[in-house]
Amino acid sequence: MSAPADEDRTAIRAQGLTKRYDGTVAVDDLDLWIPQGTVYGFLGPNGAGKTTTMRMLTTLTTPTGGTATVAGAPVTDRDAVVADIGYLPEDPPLHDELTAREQLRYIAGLRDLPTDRAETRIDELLERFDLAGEADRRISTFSKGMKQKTGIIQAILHEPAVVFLDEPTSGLDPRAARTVRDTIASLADDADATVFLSTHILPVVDELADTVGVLADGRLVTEGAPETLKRRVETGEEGSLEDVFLSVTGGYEDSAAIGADSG
Amino acid sequence: MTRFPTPRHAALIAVTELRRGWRQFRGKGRVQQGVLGVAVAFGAVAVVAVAFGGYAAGSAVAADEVAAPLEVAALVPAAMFTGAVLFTTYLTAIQLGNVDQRDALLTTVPHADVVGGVVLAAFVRIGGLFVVPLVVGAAAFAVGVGSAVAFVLVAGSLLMVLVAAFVVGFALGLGATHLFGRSQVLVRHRLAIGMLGFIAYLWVLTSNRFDEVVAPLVTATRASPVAWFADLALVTVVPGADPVQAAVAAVGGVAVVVVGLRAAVWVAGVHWYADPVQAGPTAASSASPTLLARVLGQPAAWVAKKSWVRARRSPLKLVYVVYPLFVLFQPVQEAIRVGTVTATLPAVVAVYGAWATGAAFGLNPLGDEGAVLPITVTTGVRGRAVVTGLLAAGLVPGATVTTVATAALAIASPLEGLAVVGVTAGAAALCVGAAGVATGVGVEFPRYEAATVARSRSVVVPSTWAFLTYSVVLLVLAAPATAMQVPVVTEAVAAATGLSPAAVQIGGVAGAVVVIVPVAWYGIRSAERTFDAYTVD
Repeated sequence: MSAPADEDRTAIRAQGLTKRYDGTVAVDDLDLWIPQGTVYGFLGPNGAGKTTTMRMLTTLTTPTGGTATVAGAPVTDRDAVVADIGYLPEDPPLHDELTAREQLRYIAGLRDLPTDRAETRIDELLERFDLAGEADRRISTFSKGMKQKTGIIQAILHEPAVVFLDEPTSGLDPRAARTVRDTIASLADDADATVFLSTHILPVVDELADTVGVLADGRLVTEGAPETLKRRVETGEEGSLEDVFLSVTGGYEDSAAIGADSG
Repeated sequence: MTRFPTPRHAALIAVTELRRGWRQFRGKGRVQQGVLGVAVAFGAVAVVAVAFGGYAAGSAVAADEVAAPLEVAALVPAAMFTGAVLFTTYLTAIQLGNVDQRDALLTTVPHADVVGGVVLAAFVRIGGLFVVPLVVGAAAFAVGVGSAVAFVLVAGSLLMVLVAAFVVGFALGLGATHLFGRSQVLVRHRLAIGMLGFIAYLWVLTSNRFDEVVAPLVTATRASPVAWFADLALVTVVPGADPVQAAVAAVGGVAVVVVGLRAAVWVAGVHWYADPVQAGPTAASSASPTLLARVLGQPAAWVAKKSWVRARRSPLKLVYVVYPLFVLFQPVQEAIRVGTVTATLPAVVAVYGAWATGAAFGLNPLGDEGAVLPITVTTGVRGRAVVTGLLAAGLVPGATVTTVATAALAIASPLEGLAVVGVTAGAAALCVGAAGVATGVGVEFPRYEAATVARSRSVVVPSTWAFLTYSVVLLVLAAPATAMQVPVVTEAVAAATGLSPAAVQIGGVAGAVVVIVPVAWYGIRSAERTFDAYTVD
């Protein structure tokens, strides 16, 4: 990857980021530079180290090597990082006993959002995600998709500088998935937020990502703009992101067919 | 890094946790709500007792009837501090340290705020139970001693002791959990260790040895500056109270709370962000249950093997089988103390062993399959094979252990030769009968939902109705055989019928077998039919 062109616009920067568990390398010498206001599609097979990477960048686990900054703060400064990020793990972190509105007010309170602004923002987002009519029902009665939507609202409620989304469209019907994709695009384009998007649904990445990084066995095996990656697949013709994924995660010898784009 | 909780965030987290807890409680069944009602009633009685005690103590101090009031009074903060630290440490290790949706909270606010919220919520929920008797007792003491200031000092000093102990206990509990989780050996065997700890706890409780275990700790605490809280509480009403020690207690109490909270935040920062210790690869079980398969057929053997593997890797789901063990503590302890096995102990062991044999794998055959049930029923396996496998899962270990233990105890007891044979055969027969009854009851009262055994651990356990119905049916069926082994009953029946005592004992066992066999057979057939006809609606 190339050196950052504009350090002031850096949202996420990782250099040699490494995580080992009892001798097992989960993430190995990862370098990332992700500018503000972009969507970064983070792909990789199951067990490649994507979730571990996200947990390091969100301060939930400590790297065993390398450095990283998120929204200008080193990941070792947890308090500074968490103030500027939103995070949606694979299972939306919600309390079943609360209603959706109570859950969102709770998070808004912890985020120190002024009450008026919080109420306006909650109403606006509930409306956008078609949850306004269900907001006063307990989350325990919600479908998987409704929980997912509530989790996404919770992650972006405070308009964070960097949003980490792990499989955000999982379990959503096509209409809701469309809303999520539009929201992600809007976060980057209109709110100048950076979205770190981990998913296995490749069309979502293809549509939204400015840059795609593919992780395999803890190593970043390729990175670049989707169109660039698709053109560089050595199939003799224009490929798809699925071709890229299969090619670079099949083994390191395959990844040489594409080479690592500097992004 | 934030070193102390932000009060507003901590309060918001605490309020939300309390609201969630209240809603969870309201969603529970009436039986559990009724249990709380009974507990509250007992608590009210305790508050009245504390009020009388407080008033009597205050009156005695006012009348100068207590020879060494400070020495006596020092026991109160010492016992309270010791008990609260132990209790909170234990609760934190098993429950309070596991925060729901922890990752979401830790990516929203500094972890110090989470510590503050969790400690505050827990104190209101648990410490709050002790605040009412504490305040009432202090008020009654103040009335008895005739000093309003005494109320403020007694209530304030005891409340400070309680808060300090709670915060210290939280930090210790979290630290213990962290250290425990750092060892691969302990992580691998944590549930077995937990079970042993639980049994030890039951033993201490049922053998009246609690005082012996706790008394040295209270004595040590009483010899520490914690005792100075008695000076603080009584400084205005007992002439011998040391004002300097009282002042040190007041300042020291606040300092312990602050340092304890800081320590809790530090330990939480270490524990909550620590990488989990890998327990290492699980040793693969053998590819096929060959020996059992030759006897029972392959499908039944796999059902039994699967049950054993699941139980070994998740022993928490069998914890309810251990609960009735406490009935054995007293007779076993007594036998060890006097060096003689009583004539009734073999029968008691036989009944418990049979109960456990049936309860372990038979009480929830449908629900225990969990999400796999639809797959199991569509594999084409017959109900007979499934039920046979479940029976074998319980009987192979259960009947063996029960029969051997009963025989050994019977030989060591004053029972005569024929009676030894009778009670041993009865134990084996009872195990078989119990396993059959359990499967029949289990399919009638299935439970599919997981129950929270500890805060972070949910397992599917049999329903309360299955548990109760099975226990009652088995005890009723086993009653004749058991009763006939009790010497007084044996002799009375022998005298009334003209039979020999041994014949009465054997007859009791034979009678129980005659009664239990058809019931067990019906239970087994019913379970087989239910399984064969199972549909998801």
